[in-house]
Amino acid sequence: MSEAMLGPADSLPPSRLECILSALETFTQEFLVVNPLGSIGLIETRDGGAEKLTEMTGNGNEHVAAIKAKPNREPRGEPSLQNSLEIARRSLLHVPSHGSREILILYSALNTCDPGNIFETIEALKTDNIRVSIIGLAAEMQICKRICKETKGVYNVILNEMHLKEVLAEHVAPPVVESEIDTGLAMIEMGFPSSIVFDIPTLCANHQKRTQTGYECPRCKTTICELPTDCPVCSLTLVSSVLLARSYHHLFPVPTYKEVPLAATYSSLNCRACSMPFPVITAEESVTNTREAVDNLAPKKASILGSGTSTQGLAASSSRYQCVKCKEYFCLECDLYAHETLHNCVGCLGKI
Amino acid sequence: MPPLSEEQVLHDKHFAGSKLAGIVRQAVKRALKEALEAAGATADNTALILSGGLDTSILADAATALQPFRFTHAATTAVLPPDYREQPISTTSSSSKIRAGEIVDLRAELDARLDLPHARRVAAANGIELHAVEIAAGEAMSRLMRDDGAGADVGTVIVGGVEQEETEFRPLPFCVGTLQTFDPMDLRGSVGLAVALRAVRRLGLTRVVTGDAADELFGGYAFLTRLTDAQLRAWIARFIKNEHLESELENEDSVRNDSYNKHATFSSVPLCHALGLQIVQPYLHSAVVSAAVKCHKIDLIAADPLDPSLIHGKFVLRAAFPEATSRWRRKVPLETGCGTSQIGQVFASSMPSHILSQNIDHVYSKYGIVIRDAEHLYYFRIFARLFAEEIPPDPKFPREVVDVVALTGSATERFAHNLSAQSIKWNTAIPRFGSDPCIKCGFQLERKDEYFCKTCGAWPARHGVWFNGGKEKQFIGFFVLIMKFYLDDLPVLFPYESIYPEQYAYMRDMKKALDAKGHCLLESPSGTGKTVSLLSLIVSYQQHYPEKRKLIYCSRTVPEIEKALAELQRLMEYRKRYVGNEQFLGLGLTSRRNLCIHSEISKEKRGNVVDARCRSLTAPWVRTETTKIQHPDQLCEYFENLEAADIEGTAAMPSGVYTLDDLKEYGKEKKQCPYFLSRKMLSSANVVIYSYHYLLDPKVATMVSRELSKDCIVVFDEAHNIDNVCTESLSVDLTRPILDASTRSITALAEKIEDLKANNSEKLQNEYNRLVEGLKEVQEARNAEELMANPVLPDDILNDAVPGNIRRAEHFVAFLRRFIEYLKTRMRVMHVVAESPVSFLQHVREITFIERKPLRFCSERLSSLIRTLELTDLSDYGALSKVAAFATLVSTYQKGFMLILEPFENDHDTIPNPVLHLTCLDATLAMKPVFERFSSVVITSGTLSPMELYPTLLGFKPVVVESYMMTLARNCFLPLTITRGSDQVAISSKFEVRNDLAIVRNYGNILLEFAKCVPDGLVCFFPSYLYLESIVASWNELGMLQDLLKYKLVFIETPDAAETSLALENYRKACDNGRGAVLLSVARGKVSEGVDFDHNYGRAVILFGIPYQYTESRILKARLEYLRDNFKVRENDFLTFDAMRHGAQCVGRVLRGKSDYGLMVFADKRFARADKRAKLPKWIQVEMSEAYVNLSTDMAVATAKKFLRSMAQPFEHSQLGISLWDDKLLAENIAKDKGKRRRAQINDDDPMNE
Repeated sequence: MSEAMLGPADSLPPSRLECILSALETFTQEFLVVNPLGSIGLIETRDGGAEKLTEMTGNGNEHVAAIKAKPNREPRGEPSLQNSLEIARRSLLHVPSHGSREILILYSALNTCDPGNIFETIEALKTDNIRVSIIGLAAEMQICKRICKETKGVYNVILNEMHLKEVLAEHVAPPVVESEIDTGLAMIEMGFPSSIVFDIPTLCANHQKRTQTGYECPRCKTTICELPTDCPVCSLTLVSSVLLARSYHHLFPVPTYKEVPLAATYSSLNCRACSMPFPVITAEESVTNTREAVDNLAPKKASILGSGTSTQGLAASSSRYQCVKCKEYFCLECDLYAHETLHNCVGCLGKI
Repeated sequence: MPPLSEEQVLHDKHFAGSKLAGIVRQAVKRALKEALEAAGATADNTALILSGGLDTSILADAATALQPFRFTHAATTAVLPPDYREQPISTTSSSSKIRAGEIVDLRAELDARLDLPHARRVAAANGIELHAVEIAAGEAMSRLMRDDGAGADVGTVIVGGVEQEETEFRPLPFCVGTLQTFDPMDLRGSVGLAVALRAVRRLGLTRVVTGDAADELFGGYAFLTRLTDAQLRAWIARFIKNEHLESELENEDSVRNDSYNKHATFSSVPLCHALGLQIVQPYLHSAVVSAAVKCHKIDLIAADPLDPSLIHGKFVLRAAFPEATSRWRRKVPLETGCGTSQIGQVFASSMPSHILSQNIDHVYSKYGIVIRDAEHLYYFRIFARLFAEEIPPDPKFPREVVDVVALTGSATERFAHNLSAQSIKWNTAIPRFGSDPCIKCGFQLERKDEYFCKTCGAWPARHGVWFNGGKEKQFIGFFVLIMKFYLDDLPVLFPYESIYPEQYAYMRDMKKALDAKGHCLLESPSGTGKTVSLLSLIVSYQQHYPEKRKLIYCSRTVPEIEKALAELQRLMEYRKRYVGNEQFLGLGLTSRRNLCIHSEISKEKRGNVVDARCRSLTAPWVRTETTKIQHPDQLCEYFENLEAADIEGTAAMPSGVYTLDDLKEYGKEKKQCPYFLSRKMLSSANVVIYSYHYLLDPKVATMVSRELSKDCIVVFDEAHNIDNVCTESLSVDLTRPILDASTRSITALAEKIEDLKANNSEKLQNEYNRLVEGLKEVQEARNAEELMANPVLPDDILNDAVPGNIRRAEHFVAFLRRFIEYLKTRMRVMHVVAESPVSFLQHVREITFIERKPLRFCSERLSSLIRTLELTDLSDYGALSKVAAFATLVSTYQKGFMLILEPFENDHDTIPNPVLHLTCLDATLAMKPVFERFSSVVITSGTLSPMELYPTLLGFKPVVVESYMMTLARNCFLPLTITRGSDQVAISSKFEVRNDLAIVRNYGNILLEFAKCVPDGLVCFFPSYLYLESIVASWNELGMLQDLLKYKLVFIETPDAAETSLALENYRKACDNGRGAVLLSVARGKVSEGVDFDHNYGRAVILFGIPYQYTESRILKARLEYLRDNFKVRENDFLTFDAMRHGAQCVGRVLRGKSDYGLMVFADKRFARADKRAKLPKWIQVEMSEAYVNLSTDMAVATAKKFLRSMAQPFEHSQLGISLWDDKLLAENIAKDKGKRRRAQINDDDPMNE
């Protein structure tokens, strides 16, 4: 953290530093909840250099401890974007190919003190497939804009505390896996340990503490107290299916359903998910080829866009939403349910 | 379902007890009766076209009730879907049992869309014989549409239960031919109608009754249900007016029985006429019309009494005729009812898309008509077969070009239509390319308020309707609308898809000036695309009017010239795509240094060296026959090639636009010298782009620009400094070294003359003779070709011969030597002298006996001598020619000039370094020949305010003076005026206080604070180098510079150009890589004029103090005095004007486009004063709200932080509509503009009427 963190709080009470650190704390915790298989490392930059505060780990407590540690809370000197990026890049190199590599920077200063050519670092980040997102706290810097653009990240400049929290929250969910490259992914060995209740307290392998409930590694039968983790004995990745599912749905979201245009006939009369019949569309509204219908379109569109609730606007919709992949029709309620709760498309799953 | 009682049906709150339903009922009944009587209809000769819908059902039922008349025949067409099964008409009642008045709920029936079952029901209820033409879908239907003779059988016509084979009647060509349209929507319905009418005809009946107009009068169409009451009534009123029915309304009693037969709005009318049937349209009867106008929306549109989710139109009709069989049938369009709407799919599947697009291109290129889909194409083919007649191409085809061009196909194909579309004659009743053509097909639209083309079915058929969504969206991928619009009668092609409002205004005003053949002065903010608007207007103007006025575009610097050329190139590319090849030559001209391609000379860096070496290779006396043969290496190959080509007459360049690089490329390829080539082509080029000096500097202007004709359009871009350029081009400064160099040149000249005398005295004699003749030749040339007058050589001088005492070369040399010696003695004076040319000449005569007259000829005489002596290395004579020019100027002009001798550079210097300034005080002198010579001179820049001053300074009368605002979707720049520091001490760069510690510290604080909060680049301007140096030194002492370095690197502009450009380069680098940088520069330096600080290179500009000129300067004082005496411009006004335009120029550097953003900080308390602010350009003034004009440093910083944050947010809102117009918006605004002008005219006329 450079001196810029000491700058006036502006709209970040109580002070810029405190506000950022507490936001960061929340972020790390939320991140690990949403991404149980993910891990974070913290890096700070000051005195023209950068240092790692924590190694890449999924253990939230370590990060919180690092953020709270007094020596880590002292801003001094100038920041260095390049140094921080380089350190981050090196730590991310070990991330296996099934994970996404991301750097998120909270940047308060409006300048950077770099030892070399930062554009080379950008190129390196690009070849290593690392996505850099930056949150600026003061104003838009061209270099940040460029880094984010080239590495396909997001650049935001925050307006106030609320905005900061919003922007950070957007970074919690991982980015969607791009198109079909998932076919090329390597298989990952994972173990799904079973939960055990011990009669007598047993030492867990990762903390060497006594515990009465835990898990047993399916490969080497070691006792573990927490999930997810790597087995300390045989280094198998140990997860529970719940955690896996939670991570998975962010990576492969259900495609947005498209509204079905008005037509004379439809291929199905019932919602694929709940089997409730769709409302019947009468002859007049299905007609689109008449002259008056064309005259009609502009005001209709306007009414949908404008009020959105006018009966005429609703009467004109087909009430059907189609999955792009499986081509099945759904009603609005099932559309919402599939996207917000289920994170799976009923039609697509039914075809597997 | 039990039948509903009458009360139940009319339970609607409005109709209970309403009289309106009764009125309508009576009106319709009366109309039917009178119409039938008028037509002489009897039961034996009349058929009802029965669709089974509400309107015809009412007619059938009403007629039944209206004894003794009763329909006996009805006809309908039905194209039946393949899976059509005849449904039993009703479960509760068989066809024969239905009584009139019985309510039957028809909504539940599956085939509610099709007419046939309904028609059957209505017929059955009234005992009418129904003749239905039933056609099976699919194959049979495509036969229905056939236009060749082979598939003439239409289907089975059941006439009175006897099947008859229909032959010879081809309904589609019949409809296309009769209705003269290829609009699918119209034709689908009409074909069905035509088949039904044909069936009537075959039955031997002569009259048909239709239900036309009920939908229009009583709001039957679905889209009408969305209108408000007022809109709906207006719509109906419009219909009535267009149908000319209103006259009948006024005179309700006079029944004009034949009126309804005249209108052809309904396709049934021409179709009936063509088939020899008489048509009866009861709903068009005046009684019905007058009933209809009484109705409000609440009467017409209401929910179904049984199912409130259904909305019905024509509600009053439904209420008025409770007995109608089809009372609650939903409205379906004609083509849906008879089943022909499936045709579109049949056609769509019949043609692969690539064939379709080829065909569409073909039709477009041949006929200039936009086809939408396969069905449309098919109909058009029939249409073309029936009406198109090819005529031999007319060489003078009219200029109208359809605005829509297909993107596919090669450019040549795309333009083929220009010629070939004109070579087609259309034998239709509707003219093509008339006063109001449809934008898609070019056929005339019927009415001004009509947006639908009845010929091709296009909607919208004219510009000016913004159609959001719907069908037209499909075309936008396929066709693109060119940005073409009309300014009065001038078609302007604009090479972008959208246009800024200020660009439109700019072009409009410039056109006004061009039309008036007058000068104009236009100020438009930087980054609003001045250059492109200017070029596109003038090129359009050139190409449209036969005079083809040449454009001379003057800019300041080479990069600016390059930019303008690139823009012109783009524009011409665009025009080529959409208008076709035009004869057009666009050229740039710059110095030899930038254009030379000679292998060695081009390596030289300095301009005058290149010039000299070039002359040594290309001067006529070098290029003698002997050298050509003996030393070809002493000549420039490229120049020789060009000369050779010129003699052969093949030196012309092919048409096109050549940037400087293109020119060099072309020269290399052809092995011709690009510099001389471009000079040769100047006379034939349509657009010439070069530097100010080629027009303003008399020395260059005579050489380059003299052949330009009078009606050229001259544009001075970035012209805010033009008065200074003018005065500088006529000013001469002499120093000691110059005089010394001149003395040396004189000696060299004398030696040469001696040489020549010894070897070839004939030459000198020839020259002498020529001089005796005087400058007559020049004068003749000036009269004949209207040469541009050289201000150095006024007219009266031409009438004189060169005075005798300088005719001989040796005399002239001696004369010059004497003059130079005189100047040297003058220079020895140790005090400042300021005198007028008159007293100077007086003094010259007293001391040296040199008269005024020979002095005037100095310049001419010297160049003549140099020609005679065949001197090539002119660079050695630069100093001497300067002295000669000095002599000529000082002796020519008595007014507007001033001689100032300053012995010391600074007031406190002790070593003399004398400079003799001959300064021009009057910018009009240089501009005068330009304004007199050319009819239209355009002066434009981003900062010309206050604009009243320029006409005075330059001595011209503009016809248009305009300053444009910048329309912005967001406020992308923020002018802040800081008047005091955080300690509330007022800040100012006033000379007396500028070095106060408080002010220096406060200025330092401003810089520091802004360096902290502004990202990337920050540019500061100081009033002078001197102040810049002193304040930076003080900051250094205060330790502020060290602080500053923490946040930004600091770069400083110096008077040295090379140093400054290095600083600029590194400044940009620091802005790019995030280090951040501050550039400290001077308001009148190079940086403030030519360098752009777009985007991150300049997020903020700080103007430290008002950039006043150095007021102690004697030259400035002289100029101020002159302006006061001659132009009545007060000194202070001029100084402030000058300071503010430079200030505006400086802050304008930060904003180079609408996507850019930046802060403008004015740090001086004097900026808060209204008189200072009022002199800023209008576009900056409007943003200066009162809240931001009187700030202290901390307040300004807080505002700036907020601004920078908000500007960093993603900029999503489309600028469209606010600061950007597409063609539709543009058309609207042009229309508005016209309307305004018309209103203004009317207002102007009014007082005269009174």
